[in-house]
Amino acid sequence: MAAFFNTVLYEPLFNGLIYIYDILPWKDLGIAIIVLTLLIKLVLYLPSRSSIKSQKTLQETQPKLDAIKAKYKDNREEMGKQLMNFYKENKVNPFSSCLPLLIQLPILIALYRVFFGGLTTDSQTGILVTDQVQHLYGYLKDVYATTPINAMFLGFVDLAKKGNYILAFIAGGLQFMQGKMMMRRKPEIDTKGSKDEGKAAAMNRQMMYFMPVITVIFGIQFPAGLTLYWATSTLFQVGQQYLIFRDKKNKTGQPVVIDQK
Amino acid sequence: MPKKRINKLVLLPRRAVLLLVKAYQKTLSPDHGLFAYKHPYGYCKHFPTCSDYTFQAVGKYGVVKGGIKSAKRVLRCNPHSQGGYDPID
Repeated sequence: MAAFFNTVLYEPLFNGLIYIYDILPWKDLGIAIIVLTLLIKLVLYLPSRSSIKSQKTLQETQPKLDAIKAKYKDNREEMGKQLMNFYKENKVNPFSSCLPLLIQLPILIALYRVFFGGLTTDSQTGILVTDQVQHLYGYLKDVYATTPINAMFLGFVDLAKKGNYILAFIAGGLQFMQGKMMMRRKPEIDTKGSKDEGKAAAMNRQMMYFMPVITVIFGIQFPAGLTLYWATSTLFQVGQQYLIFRDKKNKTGQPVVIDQK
Repeated sequence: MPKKRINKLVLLPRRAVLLLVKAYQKTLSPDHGLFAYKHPYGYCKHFPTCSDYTFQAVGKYGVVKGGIKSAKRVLRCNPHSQGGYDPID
């Protein structure tokens, strides 16, 4: 199982990272981490694109949704059924699917390990350790068995070193921004819903403040390269949300057929 | 051996799986867990959600039959399906 994971996920991603590093005009592992992160995020984002667009449309039909929620607030089973019918009739599907999520998870775990691997160099020479070199394909293997990896991001941030407070706080700040953006988009439905929903909303608000704190704590514990990865991927989400919600004000009240399948 | 105890033993795997599903829902689940705040309209396109479905199916049919039903459900929950109301029976 571990060997299978290595062959199918770890090695392609690891070679991707080193290849990007190799073709960069100036050798900088930090830039390679950013490029690979953005590429992977872009690929993983594609399946959820239509659902995010649908969410935007849904904000405009919010009053009707509220009515359904109020009507069936004591019967969650019936409420779910009615909501699903509403979505179907209006041809909106604000949801993502569980299957892509299950596929994404191993990819993200592999990516995390790849960045760890790329940072595991001999402290004296800066050359990748033998274990990692073995994962490389073709000419990369020959080159990086002897060539040191430059883990200095922009020449002054040591990505292999732990305890980079500045990067950790940047990652935490971005995380907060991302949560805040999402909360602002969150329709005010929970206030008049059932007790259960009120609790969920309170929980959500807590998480918005809690997640950035967790991010900072982990960001300090990990090598700076991983913190850089986390900051980049959160920045991607912030940008994605910004682009999607930007032209919200131009829309009119009628739901639009977005995703007819 | 008293019947009650045999029952408990038979239901042990089922209860273990149910516990795992609950643990998932409280933590990683984008619908019920810590990251639910990122998905104001919910995540799963079906109702009940995939994890609720699994919880109910395993509770009712056991680990093997309920597990197969749940796996089929997750496969149904892909970008090409419409989603919607999809109860266990």
